[in-house]
Amino acid sequence: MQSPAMLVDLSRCIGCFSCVIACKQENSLPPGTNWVNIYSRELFSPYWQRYSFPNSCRHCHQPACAAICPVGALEMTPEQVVIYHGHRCIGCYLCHSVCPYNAISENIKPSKCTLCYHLQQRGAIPACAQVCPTKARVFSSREEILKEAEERVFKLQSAQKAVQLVGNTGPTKSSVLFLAPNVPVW
Amino acid sequence: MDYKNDNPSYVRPSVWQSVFHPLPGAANEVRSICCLCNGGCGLIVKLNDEGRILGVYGDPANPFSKGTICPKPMAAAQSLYHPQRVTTPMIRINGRLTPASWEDALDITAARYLDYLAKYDNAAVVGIMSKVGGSYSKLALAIFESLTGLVTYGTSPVCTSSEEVARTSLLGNPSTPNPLWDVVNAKILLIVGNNVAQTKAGLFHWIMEARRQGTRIVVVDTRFTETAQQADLFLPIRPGTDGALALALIREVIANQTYDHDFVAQHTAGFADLSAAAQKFTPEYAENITGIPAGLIRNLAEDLGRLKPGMFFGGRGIMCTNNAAGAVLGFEALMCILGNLGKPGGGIVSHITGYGKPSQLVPPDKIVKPVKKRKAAELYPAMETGEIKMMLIAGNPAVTWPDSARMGRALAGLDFVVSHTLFMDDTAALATVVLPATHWLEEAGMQASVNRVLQWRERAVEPFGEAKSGGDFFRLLAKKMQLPAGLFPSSPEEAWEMERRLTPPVSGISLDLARGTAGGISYPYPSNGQPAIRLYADGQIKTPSGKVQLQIETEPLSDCYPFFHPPLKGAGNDEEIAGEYPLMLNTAKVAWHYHTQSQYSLWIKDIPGPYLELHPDLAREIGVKDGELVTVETRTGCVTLPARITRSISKDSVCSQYSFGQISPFKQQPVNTLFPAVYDPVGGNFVQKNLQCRIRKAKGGF
Repeated sequence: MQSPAMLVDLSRCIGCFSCVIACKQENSLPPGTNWVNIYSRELFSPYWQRYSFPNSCRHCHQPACAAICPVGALEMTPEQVVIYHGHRCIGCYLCHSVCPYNAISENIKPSKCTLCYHLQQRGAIPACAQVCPTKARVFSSREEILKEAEERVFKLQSAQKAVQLVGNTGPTKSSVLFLAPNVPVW
Repeated sequence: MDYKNDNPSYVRPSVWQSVFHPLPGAANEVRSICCLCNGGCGLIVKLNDEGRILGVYGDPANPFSKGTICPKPMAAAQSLYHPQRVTTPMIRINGRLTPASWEDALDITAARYLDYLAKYDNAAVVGIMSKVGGSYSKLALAIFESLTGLVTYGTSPVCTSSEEVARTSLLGNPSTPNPLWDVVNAKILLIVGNNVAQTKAGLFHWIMEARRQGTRIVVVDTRFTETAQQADLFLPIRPGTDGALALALIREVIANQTYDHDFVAQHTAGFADLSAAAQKFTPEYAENITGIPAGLIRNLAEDLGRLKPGMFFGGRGIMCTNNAAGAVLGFEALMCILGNLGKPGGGIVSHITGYGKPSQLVPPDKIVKPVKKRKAAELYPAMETGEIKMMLIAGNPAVTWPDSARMGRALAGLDFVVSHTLFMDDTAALATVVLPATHWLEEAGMQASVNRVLQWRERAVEPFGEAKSGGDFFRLLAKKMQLPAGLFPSSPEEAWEMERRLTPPVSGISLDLARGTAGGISYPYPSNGQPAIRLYADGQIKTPSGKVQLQIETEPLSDCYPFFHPPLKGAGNDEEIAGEYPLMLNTAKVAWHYHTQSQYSLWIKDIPGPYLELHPDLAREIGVKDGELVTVETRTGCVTLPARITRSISKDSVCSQYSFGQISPFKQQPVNTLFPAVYDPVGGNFVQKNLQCRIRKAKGGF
């Protein structure tokens, strides 16, 4: 299976909570467990900006959570998706303490986004990317996504917007890439 | 991947279950249309073997929504199985609602109805029918009204009345002239008081696509909204002063000679008077009123004159105010004199989607005329004085109508209230007879959308419990009241065939045609013509004179041209108390709630509830932090809400969301209770924005 990736484009996000709800619907998450959280951000640097920031698991290519999990509840698949086996988890919260992105939900037991691995195996795309009304979330193969991201970066930069692509290379390389403004948003 | 437990048993304590259970592959998928915001997004409803809804997704085959949806339909589908859903009829006996059969409930309703008709006249019974159901139920209601002389109030007085009045007098037809997707053909799009990104989130991609293709998006709003985030230009305006901006733009366009001289000469009436009415609104004069710099007004007027075709998309932010009609008329007259009307990508988008009313539903000898037609605001005193004895309700007026607390008290004081409802809400709790209604996913019907199409919505699931649709309810009630029940259609399919036969503008849209076309059929589509994508493309204006009437012809301000009336001098406000109530209260909609319908899901803890947006300076003044409780007071009432501190709102106003009730899962006093039952004197819309208020930190505990 080709390595998949998702692009989250903050310049397009309208903070409508579609991804949050679609995720809860698809994975039947109990109340209080959210794998996607939307934070509203207002910044004064370098000029006044307002963003909705949908935070979720990045599916790091070097996942700290999977490395530290004592029971193998978090596992990296060959497609570089970090999946979560709920039935194995003993609830020690080590993953929660090492996650640099605060992407692990801490209700009842720690749990996190599986990039809808069950849907991918059926040939479908993750629920959040299916419903996103503005295509702020797109899901495809990694090559496609990088191409799309490049195009979007070019267009935004031509419109004098300072943007950066996060999660492309280096230690933060991940399967979920963010197109973020050139200021720390999280 | 298999999810079965392959670990030794000591790893997992047996009480610990997995917190997530991905949905199984659906046994069955049904195509449906979302009935929430007039957007008409296509839905795919996934069902399990027992026909219960597993989940709702977007329909990729729908050419307008393209497979994407906002969170509302997902939440609305969950509400089908909510514990607060009414599943069986109930009759109040000795003050307690007791389960009963439909037969008994209808018997007692019909008996009381006939009793009131015999003792008084048909003005003693009224209906508030904002949520009666789909096309089938609306048609049955129309027949019932003709047979009994029942006067009903729909969403019009709370939502669209002023807009309807202004557009009807301007163009002769309140329906939106252009489909929403037409924005991609526009060169400039003027969005005023409309947060499309939240109110029509599923269709907002059209506006973003338009911008990528070069349409200039200008947003005028009192808040820096999500729509403004995606715009080329955002003009923050003082609450309630949009009329002044419209007049200044009209004046500039006329002064620059950039209006369409041919269109004005051939197709408009009253241009000279319009020009005179706008004369005093120089950009500098408008700057003093609106707070928008004169230079920006000049630039915008130049852009509007240069970039044609242009489009106007107004929202509830200017339609539900105490000076709404003048402002709506101003912006729409501006679009007309620019010559945009009827062109691809030019004109007006609105969420009014009327396709014409059926004529001669009932043989003339059976028609009963209503004895009295009251204005919506006159309902309150009529209910309080006992003039009205009985009320038929489908909706939740004790939350959605202004001065909600007074509406609740008035409802409690009535002799007999029938609530045909989905949920046990604030209104149903006051009713004498509560009847279970069908959800829109349980009722087939023809659905008009803001893209000017009629789409057929199939019934996705069987009605839950003993729920019956409005269509069935009115037919059965008519039968019990010895009215000719044979006049009523017996199924949604039959209802549509009947409706289209009697409604010439849509007579070409047969059921098979609508069923077989993804995205539906554009209307008007008379049986002897072609479907029309937009109105007025042929220059035929539907006003009596055949020309665009640039003035309002309705009493009491007849012959009034687009006007600006200061919001503080308008209904509900008083300049003398401006010191005591220094702020303006606004209400707005968010993407994750739609009236009372999507509050009944399992996810309400995970999405924001009601809150009050306020500027950090205001928050500091009254000493509240983000999330702390603030009390908002107006002369009508007071409500306590958690604060959300944001710089996206100006210092002179605060904003909250309506449609939360005391008996809803959020247990919130409705914000509409702060608004008095007063209306825009020209348009007749209840005032739901720009009301004087003051805030303070809430005292005491919860």
